[in-house]
Amino acid sequence: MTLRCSGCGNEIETLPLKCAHSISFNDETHQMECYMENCGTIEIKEFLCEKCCAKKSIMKLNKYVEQLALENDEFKEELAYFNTKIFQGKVLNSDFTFWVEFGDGVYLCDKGVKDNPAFTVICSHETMLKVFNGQLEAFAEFFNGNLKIEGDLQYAVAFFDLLKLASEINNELGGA
Amino acid sequence: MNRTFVWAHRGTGFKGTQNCLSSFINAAEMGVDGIKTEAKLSKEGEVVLSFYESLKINGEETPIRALTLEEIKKFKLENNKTIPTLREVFEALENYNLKYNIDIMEPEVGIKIIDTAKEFGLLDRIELGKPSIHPDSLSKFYTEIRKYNKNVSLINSVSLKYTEFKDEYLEIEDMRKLNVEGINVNFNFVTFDLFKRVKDFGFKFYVWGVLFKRKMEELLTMKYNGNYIDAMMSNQPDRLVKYRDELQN
Repeated sequence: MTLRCSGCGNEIETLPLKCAHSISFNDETHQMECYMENCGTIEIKEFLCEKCCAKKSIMKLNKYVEQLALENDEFKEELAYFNTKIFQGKVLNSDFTFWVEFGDGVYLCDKGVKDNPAFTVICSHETMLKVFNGQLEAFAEFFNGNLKIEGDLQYAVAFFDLLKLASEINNELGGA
Repeated sequence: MNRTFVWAHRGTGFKGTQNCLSSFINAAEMGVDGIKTEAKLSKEGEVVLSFYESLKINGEETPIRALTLEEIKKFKLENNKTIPTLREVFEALENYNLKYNIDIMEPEVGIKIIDTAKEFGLLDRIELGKPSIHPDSLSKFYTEIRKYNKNVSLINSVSLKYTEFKDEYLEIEDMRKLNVEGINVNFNFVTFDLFKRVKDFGFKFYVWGVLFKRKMEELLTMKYNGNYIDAMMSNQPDRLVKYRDELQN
């Protein structure tokens, strides 16, 4: 059986790490399903290749922060102390780009390119994901040459500080 | 008991246009104790206050060092503001009794700042800073400046490449040799243990980049031997002054 990625349509040669833990038959939908650690239970027809999975995870983390900005008063208040700026993310060896607009009480994100970013961060899938989920320090990666920042460094510093705050609040709320 | 000294980064930080005269004046009006900024030299050797090494003029990035003061003055920041000289800032803030902490990328800029501050009788109100993004060792960075002037205050911002602070990263021996007064650390990496170690070494403890109410409150109430953290730098100086005044009275 050929398994195709529901994102890019390419044949999936290697399953994403930590995926395919538990394949089962769903009696209600009459579909095979798989419990994927990062994504929950999904139908096999929604499987993603490694690259698409990483993209989805970066956006998933971003969407979480976007939601936090809507629901958490403290985070919303802190965002209000920034004038609106654009973060542009570019993933190396991939066509995946995404942006975050933050400031004036708002955090918005989407795939693609946005005009006039205050700064652009360029790095691998793995580094971007680990920086966004707090496993890596952005500026340690910057000095190690694993992450490039173009534009205003102080806004980059502040943006990553905001992500840390989001993560701190998430942990206090009992999030994963 | 001391009070934490509040430095306003580039004036009012994230509010308004950074590193322009009105931003510095607004910060002074907020009640800060000092201005934290960055300096470069014009072609004639005049000290101008800008973070940027180059300016985009007619679509091309041109190093500030290659531009005359007249050309620099024609460059417009956000909101039609212009890049100020250090002299203009000293004159405009004459009545506020502020201190100035100025990051430099080259010793030559530090020497020009010393000369300008002497002209205004403000040498004791000046601190020079080695930025946390500068790759040189403390010794390479500050030796020439210390030879030029024995009294100017020097501060060591520890590189952002470190995520933990072993004693060797703090360059303690060179700090002593060069009479560097303080260690400046990004707020994310401040722990009570680090604060205590720096104070036990006999240096001032500075914290930069301080944002967010919860972090301001945590750091403004951190005490060792009855003393608060010596100084904090923020892009939200109005908040930092407000919480400092509430928590340290």
